Amino acid sequence: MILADFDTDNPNYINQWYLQTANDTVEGGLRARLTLFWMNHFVTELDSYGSYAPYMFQYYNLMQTHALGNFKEFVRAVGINSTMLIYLNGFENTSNNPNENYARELFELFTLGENNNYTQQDILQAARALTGYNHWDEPGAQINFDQSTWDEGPKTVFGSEQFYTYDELIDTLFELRETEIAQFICTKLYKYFVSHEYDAITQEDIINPLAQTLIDANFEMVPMLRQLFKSQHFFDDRALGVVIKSPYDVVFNYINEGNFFYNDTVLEYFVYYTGIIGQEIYSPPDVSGWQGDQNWINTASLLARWQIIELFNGYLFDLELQSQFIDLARELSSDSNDPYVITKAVVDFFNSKELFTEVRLSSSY
Amino acid sequence: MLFNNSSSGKKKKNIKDSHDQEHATWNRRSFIQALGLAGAGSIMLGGTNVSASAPSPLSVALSQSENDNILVIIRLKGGNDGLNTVVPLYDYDTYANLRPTIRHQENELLSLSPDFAIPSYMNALESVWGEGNMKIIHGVGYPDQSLSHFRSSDIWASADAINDEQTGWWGRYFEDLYPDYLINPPEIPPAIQIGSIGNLIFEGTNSNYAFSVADPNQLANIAQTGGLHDVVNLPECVYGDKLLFLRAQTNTTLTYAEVINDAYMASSNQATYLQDDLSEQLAIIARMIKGGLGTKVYMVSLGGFDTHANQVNKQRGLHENLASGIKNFYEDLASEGYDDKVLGMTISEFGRRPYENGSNGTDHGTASPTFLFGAGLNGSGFVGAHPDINASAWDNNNNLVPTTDFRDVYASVLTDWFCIDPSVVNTILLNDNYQTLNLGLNCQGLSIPDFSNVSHFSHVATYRDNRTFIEINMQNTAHVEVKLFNILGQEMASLCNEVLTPGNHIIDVKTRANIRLAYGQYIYRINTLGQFYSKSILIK
Repeated sequence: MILADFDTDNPNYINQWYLQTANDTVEGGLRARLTLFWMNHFVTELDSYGSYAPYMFQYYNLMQTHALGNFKEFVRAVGINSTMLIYLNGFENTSNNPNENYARELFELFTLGENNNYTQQDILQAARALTGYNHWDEPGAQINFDQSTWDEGPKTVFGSEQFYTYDELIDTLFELRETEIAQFICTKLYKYFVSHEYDAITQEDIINPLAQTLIDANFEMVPMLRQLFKSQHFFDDRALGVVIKSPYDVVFNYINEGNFFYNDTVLEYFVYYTGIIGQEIYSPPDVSGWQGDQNWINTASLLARWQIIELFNGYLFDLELQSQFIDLARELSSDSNDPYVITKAVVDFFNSKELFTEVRLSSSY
Repeated sequence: MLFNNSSSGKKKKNIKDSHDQEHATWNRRSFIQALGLAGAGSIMLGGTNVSASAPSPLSVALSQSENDNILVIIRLKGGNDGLNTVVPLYDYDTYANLRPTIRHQENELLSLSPDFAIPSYMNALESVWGEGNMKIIHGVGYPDQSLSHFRSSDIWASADAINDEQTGWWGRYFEDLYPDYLINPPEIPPAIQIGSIGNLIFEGTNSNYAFSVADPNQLANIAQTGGLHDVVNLPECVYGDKLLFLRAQTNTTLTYAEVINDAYMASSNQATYLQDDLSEQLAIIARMIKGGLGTKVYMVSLGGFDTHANQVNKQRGLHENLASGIKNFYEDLASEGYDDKVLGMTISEFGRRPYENGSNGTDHGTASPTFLFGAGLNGSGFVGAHPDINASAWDNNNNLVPTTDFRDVYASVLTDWFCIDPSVVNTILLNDNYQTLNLGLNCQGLSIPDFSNVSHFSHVATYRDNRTFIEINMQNTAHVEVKLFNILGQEMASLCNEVLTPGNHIIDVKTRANIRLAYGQYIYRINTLGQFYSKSILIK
């Protein structure tokens, strides 16, 4: 086997992972949707680890592996993942020189939520427990633990003084703060899958029971997710169509729903264009990720959404695949010849609910 | 609202007050926010005979005090390390000891004074400083600094370090300036932010007052092809709200696209900007300003300041972008004499820890310097005292103690740059008294406003026990007329038509309306002293 040149190979692999992620998004169902969710929860940024393809893959693989797994074990695995160790400076966090970056985000963004029952002292002390993952056989290899740079002294986290190995810290976090963690994660999942807007009743009747299920299952996520997806609430008419799609959802749902032709060229373009309108996958704007829903929309990005779909439609025409549109319109409108009926059928098909434009047709402006 | 049976107008018995409150709050916010943006034409309230509003004493004062001055906020996202931006030469040994690895060597510094220096690689600012167009405010922060990026960014935007305030300092100003914004928005966007990352700064209780621009060229097509979308006949539910939000965004774009594009196309850049993100944003703004758009506040952002590791190279790149971007921006503005009309101001959610962290970086800290640029500063210099960098002076988290409150900076800009009366500035800054700093700004309004009769008329919708109230606070005795409209703009009822005395007055909407009102969104409009105030309201 010939060893290829890194400078050529690395960008190729990065493109391959972009493509793979796009492909999974079109074809991967729930696991893929959750993978994207977790990539926006346990955030890393491609630039921060030097756009290094092996770390990109290891990160993606970790997100996929745990997407439907145990949240506690997920948190445990994320903190010692090489990509994350580089991104939030765990790699530089040593017994002599603690770096509190990861400890802060572990509490603020990954498990508890901002200012939710932890202190700056908890962060400093937890950072000491997270030390020791500062070693690799060569640059770019997996990052390993070594006792020599681990802070072996006693630390006090959440009022509990222990020596705290990495595992003990994670165990204590989930033991002393299980309710905070479960409610934080279930609220975030609820917002992602159902609605960014929810009221105190929903919090009490829907989200908190999900959190209890998560705790009861020792943080296995499947029972909690099953409870959500099988609930009457999830199928309530008022819960449908109320989350504004991410750019990824816009383009890949369009392919799926229209059952349109796509190839690697289409996927590559979609990855590129969604980046332009605010969702450059693997490169969220900061460690808190994309905020979603209405934040996707501004005066610039909204128009670009329409243009992307137009471009794609044009591409299908260029490939002389316009029959796909004709077939779809026939199927949806029962082969009607009435432009109104056809238009309405297509509009209704691609929108979760009606657009309430009937009045406009008869109004004066 | 989401899962509550809203369409029938009946309420489940077990619904709690807290739920009602929250429901009312978010629903009102999302609805009005969209409506405010949507209302730029006469289409929205097509059924209403809407006339242009006469100005209130307050808005007269505000608009009279208005001059041609412009503010460009440059957001340094991630927490700019202040000590490696402005190096305290007067205590260089302490500085050097705190930062053995990442410190700037003395021969890598450009002295601005015997006591302070910036890194040599920011030498693009040398001429800006030399020409008297730059001030540096030391040690800017606030008490009990939050070390969270996100919370602290919100605090800088809202100016409230204690409460979870949901409006921004500029949003509140525009709310005062355009009290009838829902029905009569201004012809130009009050604020523009470049790029897609939103910020709380321009958020009011009624509306977000900022227009986002990515590429002004794109706006040309829109201005020609767009037709406004229906925002009236939408169902009363979350789905309807989202649809409304999207359409309102579209309409806003269509409404302001032409005026922005016209200004942009009417001018060109007269400086050689570099290719980095910040330079591109500043180049766009320069064209809008020179093209005579008239927007008062712009915001750009530069990310990447969260330098927990390998700080030296990362911060250098960002500082070089900042320095060259500013130099070119002002050169560009000066080509048409705008350099004394535009004040540049950096903000950053916090500074960083005084000592390096062993990863060749620095962790989250507190105070950091604010930079101001522009010929309006009337000379370069330093403002305030530098924080004591010795360990004995640090706070409990080993961070610097700020010497200047960022709200003092805001108060100074509002008072001395925009000529806004101190009493109004206090309102904008949530009724805390902040000092003005001597920044060298000379307030020159188009006229001297008379604030002696200015009263801060206030009104708010409140919800209790499934009932809806309008509370009006009168400063002086005056005739007040309050009318209720449905969202089609049809007048439904007169709620008040009488002389009210100073103090608080509560109007029970349903009782006063004296007709059956279906559950849902309405708009009330107050007419007093020749001024209109409109707001959306929920009838339960």
